[in-house]
Amino acid sequence: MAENVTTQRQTPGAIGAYVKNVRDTAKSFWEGMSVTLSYMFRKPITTQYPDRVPVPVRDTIPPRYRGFLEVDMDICTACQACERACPIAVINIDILKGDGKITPKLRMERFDIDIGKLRFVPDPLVPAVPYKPPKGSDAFPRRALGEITRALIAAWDAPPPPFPSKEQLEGDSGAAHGKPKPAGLDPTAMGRQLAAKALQVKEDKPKLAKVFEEAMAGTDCGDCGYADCKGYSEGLASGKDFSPEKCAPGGADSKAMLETILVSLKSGKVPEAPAAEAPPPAETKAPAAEAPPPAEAKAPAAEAPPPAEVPAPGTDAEAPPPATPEPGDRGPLR
Amino acid sequence: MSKHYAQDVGQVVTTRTSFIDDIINLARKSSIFYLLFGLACCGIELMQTGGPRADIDRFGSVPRATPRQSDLMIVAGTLTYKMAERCKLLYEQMAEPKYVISMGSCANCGGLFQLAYSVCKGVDKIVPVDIYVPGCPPRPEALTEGLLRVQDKIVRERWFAGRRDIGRREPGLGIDYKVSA
Amino acid sequence: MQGWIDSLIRGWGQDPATWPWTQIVYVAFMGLFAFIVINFAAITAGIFSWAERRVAARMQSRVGPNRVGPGGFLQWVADAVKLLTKEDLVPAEADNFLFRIAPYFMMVGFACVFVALPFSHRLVIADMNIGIFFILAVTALIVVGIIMSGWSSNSKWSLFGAIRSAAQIISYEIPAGMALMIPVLLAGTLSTQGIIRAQGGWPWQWFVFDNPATFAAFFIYFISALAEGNRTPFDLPEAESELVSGYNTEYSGMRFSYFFLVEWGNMWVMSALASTMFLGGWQIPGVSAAQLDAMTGGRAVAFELLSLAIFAGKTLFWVFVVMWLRWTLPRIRVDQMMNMCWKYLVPVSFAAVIFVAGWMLVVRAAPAVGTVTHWIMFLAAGVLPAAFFINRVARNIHDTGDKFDFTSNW
Repeated sequence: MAENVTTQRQTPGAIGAYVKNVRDTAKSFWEGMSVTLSYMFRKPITTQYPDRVPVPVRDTIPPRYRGFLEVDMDICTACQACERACPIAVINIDILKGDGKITPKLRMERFDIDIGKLRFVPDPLVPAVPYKPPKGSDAFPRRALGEITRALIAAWDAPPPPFPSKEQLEGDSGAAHGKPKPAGLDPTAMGRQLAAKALQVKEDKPKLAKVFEEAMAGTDCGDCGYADCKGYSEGLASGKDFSPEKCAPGGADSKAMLETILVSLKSGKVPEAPAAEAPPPAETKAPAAEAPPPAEAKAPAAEAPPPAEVPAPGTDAEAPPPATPEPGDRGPLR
Repeated sequence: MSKHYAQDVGQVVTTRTSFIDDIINLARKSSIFYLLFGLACCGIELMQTGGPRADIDRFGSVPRATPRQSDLMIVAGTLTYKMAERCKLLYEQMAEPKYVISMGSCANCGGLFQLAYSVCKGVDKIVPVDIYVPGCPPRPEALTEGLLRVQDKIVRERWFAGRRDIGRREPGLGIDYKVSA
Repeated sequence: MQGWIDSLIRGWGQDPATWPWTQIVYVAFMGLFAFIVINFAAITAGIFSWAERRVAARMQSRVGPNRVGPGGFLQWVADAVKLLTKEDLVPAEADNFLFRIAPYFMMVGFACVFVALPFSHRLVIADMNIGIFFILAVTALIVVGIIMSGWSSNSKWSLFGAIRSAAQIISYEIPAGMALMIPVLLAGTLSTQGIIRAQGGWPWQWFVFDNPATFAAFFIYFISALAEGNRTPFDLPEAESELVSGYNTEYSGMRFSYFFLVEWGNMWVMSALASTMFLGGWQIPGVSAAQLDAMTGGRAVAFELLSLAIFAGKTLFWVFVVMWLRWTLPRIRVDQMMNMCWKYLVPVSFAAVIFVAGWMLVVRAAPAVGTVTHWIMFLAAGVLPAAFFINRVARNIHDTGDKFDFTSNW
């Protein structure tokens, strides 16, 4: 092609090149316009998405559509493994440790998926976290993968649920609303109790493991590297493992309790309750003016200020004044 | 002359528009010119939304190259701090009434790059956003749905009453934008 | 139209030459016609904007605007209402007065063309004896508006776009003017109605098939008109990829809609001028202009409407071709555009004028040569290419395994 042009420019055909350009122009017009006109008379490939599609939109979803996140709340142990696995912090779980009694079992307060942050990239039919059946999983039969998504798609065009009537509101949750929520537990006090218990059963390794397991979150998430909480606690009890910070769902509380137990096992006595040290940290942590008076028998050296709107049950006796403002919205363990 | 109800929650009137509002809103919602503002991979999907398969021109939306003539800014992609200043400038150059769609998880919250030193964690820190479209990147259908949500929003507005609330604070970077001549 | 108003005044029992109110009546009718013409221009421009979007969409295998009104026909109304209600921004550092007034210059330059542009046998605002000259002159006002808008915006994109536009329009005035001189030569008049009367109703009587030079001149005029109207492939002043939106970058709302009104309205102007000069205008096949003149009463009205329909049909076909070209060809470069004008169109148009001048001498000596050439040109340059082209389009559709389907998925 290039040769042609040069030869034509050198040889007599300056005119030839000129005519060739005109001819090429006419030819390209001819070709191009015939192509565009032929497209004008064909059927457009547009899918007229929301309303003028031949089948309902919900039937056009491809089998590997990634727009749904599936959460089976029945089997959720609030282990937060999915929250930790998520690279962009889409999942937000608030947990509360303890249900008013002395037990470190986790309870979920909030399970939010921020759709705005969602990338829809991981295949939803593959769980983000490898699934391990929790203790007592027979009681909670797991739903088949994809079942929740299918239910969501089926409910796509269903009318929205009606507003609840006044009676329903009062009947269902009205009564529960006024009740005080159980507070979180006090890890220091509980750590001392568990330490005392551990000293009693110091020689009995299985029982000692049970005591250790009490201090953990008990979600069997496997974050510590062991298969479940039992493995980690046996490792601690048998002296193979010395690190108390491996329980990720339990967080700082579990770490503090395990530390207390390990220290007391080593020293042979339960550490003293640091009552004298309590007031200064309580004062610094509480907001300035309306802080509860330091004389109150509050939980000393708590990791976080206790929730203020509820009376703290359990070992610590007295409730703070009800009007005390909350230092923060988050739960005591976050 | 029409009442608009809060979506999907029952019979709660949110706005009441007059007949003349309805006519103007019908025209405005059918002619949303969007600003070509593709920043990253979402920009490809934005182009695809204007393409043959998911033809957004069906709703009267055509791309405009200049902010003066566009009604809708689709921020498509990762907004870096360097671009954030330009984004704010472009938004301010648009003529009222103007709308913003934040497209994709990067524009919504920084997305996968939210821990990066140079990435703005969400367009809503710079300009007021009307619609967030999630996805990485969103499919053209998702963006079409976003446009329909903008249309819903327009239909509910009382044009003569003005759009922005008085005293509404628009978020900024705290930088004084002065365009040198 | 002056003759019609005079006869109207005579109908009222007055003599227009001596009646003192004659000038007042003239002014009143001028206002009325101006109103009609501006509205006609605005509405056709609006409808073309919708039509162009639908045509473009079909050619890109899309659907196009189809939600407002039947088939989306009221899309242009929606666009207009939205643009009218939108904020009218004037940049802080722009020249306020010139910025505001520039769109009106374009509107004036564009609307004045309709004064001399015929619509049908009797329907023309003013059948001036310098019609073509007037049209070429007032079209130049558009350049003034473009330069003014570009300079007053105080934006580099606007200024670049305006300068490009000025260079382009002034360059292409030359081949356009030369190409339009050829029908003037053949008809011996500058009046638009006179040029149409010099042609005939049948295609082989049109100037475009008169001889090879007129055929070339038609395309030279058409290409130059595309360039003057800033249409693709010559839409360099509005090139999005390099100049944001060209000379109208800083315009919003109503003032921006004027620019677009002019752009789409120009499609009617260039196509109407093409059909006037080269394609027989409103001439009805089989009915001569003298027969039309002699008609009276309802018969005259019916044939008037027929001639209007024929003129509009020819014009709308070329409007469609303009849209079709826009969605076929990519935008060319500035140097290519200038090359095309100065190296190809200008020399060819000069050669065509000289050829036609000689040709007229030949035809005067031997009229049979002219008649035979009409027929040969009509068959060789009109019928055969059209047949080949239709065949080619059908093959394009069938070769891809697709089929002709113009009705589904609207």
